[in-house]
Amino acid sequence: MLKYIGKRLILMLPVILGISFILFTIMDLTPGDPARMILGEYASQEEVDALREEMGLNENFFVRYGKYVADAVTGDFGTSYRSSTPVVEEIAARFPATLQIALLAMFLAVLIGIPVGIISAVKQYSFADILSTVIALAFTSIPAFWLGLLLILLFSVRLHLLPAVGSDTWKHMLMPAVSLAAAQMATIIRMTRSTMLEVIRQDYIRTAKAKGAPQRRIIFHHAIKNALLPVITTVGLSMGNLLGGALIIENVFGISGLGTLMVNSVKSKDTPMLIGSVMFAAVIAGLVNLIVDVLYTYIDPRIKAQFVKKKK
Amino acid sequence: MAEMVKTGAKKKVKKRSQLKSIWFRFKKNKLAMFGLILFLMLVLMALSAGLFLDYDTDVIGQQMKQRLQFPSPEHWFGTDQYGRDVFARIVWGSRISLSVGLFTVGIAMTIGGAIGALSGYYGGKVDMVLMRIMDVFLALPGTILAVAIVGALGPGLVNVLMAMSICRIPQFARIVRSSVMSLRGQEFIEAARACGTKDARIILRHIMPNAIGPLVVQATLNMATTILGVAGLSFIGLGIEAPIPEWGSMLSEARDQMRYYPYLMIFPGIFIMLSVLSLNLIGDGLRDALDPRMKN
Amino acid sequence: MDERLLEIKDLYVEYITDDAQVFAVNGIDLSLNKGETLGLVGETGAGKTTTALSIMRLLPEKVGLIRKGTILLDGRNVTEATEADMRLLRGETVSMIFQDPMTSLNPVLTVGDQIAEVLELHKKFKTKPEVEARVDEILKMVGLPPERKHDYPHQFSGGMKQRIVIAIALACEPLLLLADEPTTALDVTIQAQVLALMNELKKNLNTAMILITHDLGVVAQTCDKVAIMYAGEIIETGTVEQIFSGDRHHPYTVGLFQSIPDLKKKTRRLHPIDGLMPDPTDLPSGCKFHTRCPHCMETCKTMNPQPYEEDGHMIRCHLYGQGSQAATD
Repeated sequence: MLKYIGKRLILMLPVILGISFILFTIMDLTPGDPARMILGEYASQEEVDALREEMGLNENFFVRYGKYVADAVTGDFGTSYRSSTPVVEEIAARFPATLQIALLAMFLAVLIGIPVGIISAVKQYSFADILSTVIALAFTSIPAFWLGLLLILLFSVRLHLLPAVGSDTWKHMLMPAVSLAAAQMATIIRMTRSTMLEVIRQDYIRTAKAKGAPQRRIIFHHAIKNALLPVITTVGLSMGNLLGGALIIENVFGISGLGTLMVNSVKSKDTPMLIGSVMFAAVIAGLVNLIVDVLYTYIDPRIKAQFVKKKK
Repeated sequence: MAEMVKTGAKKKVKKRSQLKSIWFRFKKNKLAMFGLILFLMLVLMALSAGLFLDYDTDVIGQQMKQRLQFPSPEHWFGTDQYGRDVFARIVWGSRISLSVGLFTVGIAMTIGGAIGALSGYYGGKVDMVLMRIMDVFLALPGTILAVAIVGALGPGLVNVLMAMSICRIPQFARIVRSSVMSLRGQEFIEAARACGTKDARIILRHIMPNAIGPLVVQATLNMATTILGVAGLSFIGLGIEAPIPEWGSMLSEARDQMRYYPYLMIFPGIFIMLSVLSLNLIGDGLRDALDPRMKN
Repeated sequence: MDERLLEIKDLYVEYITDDAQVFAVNGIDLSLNKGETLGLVGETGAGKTTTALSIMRLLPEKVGLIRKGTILLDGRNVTEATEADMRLLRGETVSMIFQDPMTSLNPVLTVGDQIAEVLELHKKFKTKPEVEARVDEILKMVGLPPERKHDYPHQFSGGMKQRIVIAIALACEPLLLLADEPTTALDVTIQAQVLALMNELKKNLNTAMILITHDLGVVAQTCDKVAIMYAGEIIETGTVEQIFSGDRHHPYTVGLFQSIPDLKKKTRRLHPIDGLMPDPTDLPSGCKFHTRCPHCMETCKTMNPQPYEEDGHMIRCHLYGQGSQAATD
């Protein structure tokens, strides 16, 4: 198993490298001179040229990229053009807020999505099923940022129950997490329902019924484990979507997290900050996916067996 | 010779009846039909917008005297802070959202499809290299990639379109690749190859028609996510910029007024949701109709 | 005097879907004594599996429906039993082996757990070690090493999986075993092994069995009685001797026998039955077989034949009995 985790981590490296290369290229093609940006409008051309030389901006593209990677390996992802703080520090300062919201959203989506999906499948065509299907459909189609605005309108403007902006207390986290979770929850409901329906029709469920197992046992002991396997994969892949969604949700709720950091670095052409934060987001999404895949093996003996074989 | 013609004709009949049965199953799905009707209404709205609206006066023309009026028989959805009729802007906005969705998916499907077809058909090293590149793109959450690309290209309609297209390419590449791979080994492809048919022809004439089902489903669902994505980008100021009446940027403008003029942010949101919903319903319906086995 | 275990009377089963109403079983009568083996023979779609599922009351929910008739199992009427009663019967009094062992076992549970489950459900033993001991015993009985109870289904071959399915079915020593084409999905060499195993266990446990198959060779080897089904009806039933060597048969039975190769007789070619089974959503009038029958008469097209019986050998055909005219009512 450890070998597998190691292998997956190694496989992530080229992907991360690829991302940094793509972003580096994109930002390099962008018009605008970082040296000019740092020094401001009124700096003289000589000063700008001097800084360019100092920053190594006059070197060949590949040399610069090589240097960037070499520095990155040692943990130095450069300093922000805008605030001149080290990228790593800035990310470390911003990430907790984003992580909290994303994890809370994931938690909500799973906690509500899976049971609702199961009930929906078990009581197919019942009122509860129809209701949950309609809600799931609405939530997959609703723009998260609009949902956020509606929540603000209701809970902050009208009811004065929750604060509209900021990220200081758990109360601040609630609305952003819900807005972020909605679409994910809808996906989980739909997925759980459809896999559960499929599993219920399997032969081994009939075998269990033929043994005289009651409905409850059939669902909890025989069906759920099988039905959740594909759902778990979806949950693992959802971290990326949540971090992407946070980009916009943080803007709605005025949270200074990783998302706002990215958007601001894009807007101000802060290349090191952008590459650093995007790479970081990709790594986090990848890690969560890996964790979930590892959990997966504990549920599905068929996959676990593959590792055992590989080990030999 | 006569026999060949005969089998050809037979094939055609079968194909038509297959399409017919897909349509038959689709028609029976009430939600899917609702989605289709909704979508057609939105398309109709987009097409007819030019007939009775003048872009310069009705859509972006400011009339400060009538600013921030609540919905009334005269202005169904009210007016915004520049006195523009929200309904007119939303109607015009449907042109933007639908066409951005359509073009994005079109571009992504063409490029992604080509990459996937090459990758799946040739396999080996070609597949390795192409798919690793796609993996890199897939590792980045869609929104983040789009933001990065827009950041580089700068905001604006064309740039957003390009950014969104690039984001969607890997998904199409994957779908087409897996279809092609599963079809590649089948006898009728071997037969075509044995006849000396060129690879390009095999891919286009023999493989793609069989892979079209999942591709169409993916395209429909993708158009929905694209519309959502573009609205999101515009909302944070990295998409289509004011005064173009893109629904997301309308929401962004409405945000400042939402405390006292909430109607400004209600209607654009509803229209984003309706168009996304209609496409999702159509996509789901198509998937069920194409694969009746999966239908509950 | 033999003891009656199963008595099916005038059973009608339908499947109702959005598109159609399928007449799967149309008025069958069937009886079985304790310890007896009945071969239920017929083409795919004749209603064999439906009959077995009706006995288990495991017809697909909301789709399969017992329209009419009674099924008396060990003195209890299955058609009117509550779901809770049925749960007690399933696995303990009656159990079933399904066609495809590859899909009949839950992939995420160990086979030991799956065998133990049926014992626990029916409270055969008080303590866990007792259950485990019984699981070991059963595994040995079906020819598998008990150590393998900790393995998962994917670690077994098809034949071994079917042994496990058999182990589950026989764990509680049921009075009746329904075996739905238990060997069809297996390799030919494994088929014989599994069949022999089932026969042996059945004899040891004195379990009655309904063996669903379309393989007449298997029937000859294992069964006491045979019932031949066609389009949801039993068109001929009798002892193995009566069916295999009697001289009066339903034309369909004759057709079945002609379509299998016989090594003793010199025949140039097989004689398959022409045509296909009628569409169960739209059954023909009169005798269901008349569209394919070589001896079809006018009455066959309009009137369903009454059963003709001789020493317990029943044939449902206008060719026999009081003659076609007299059978009118």
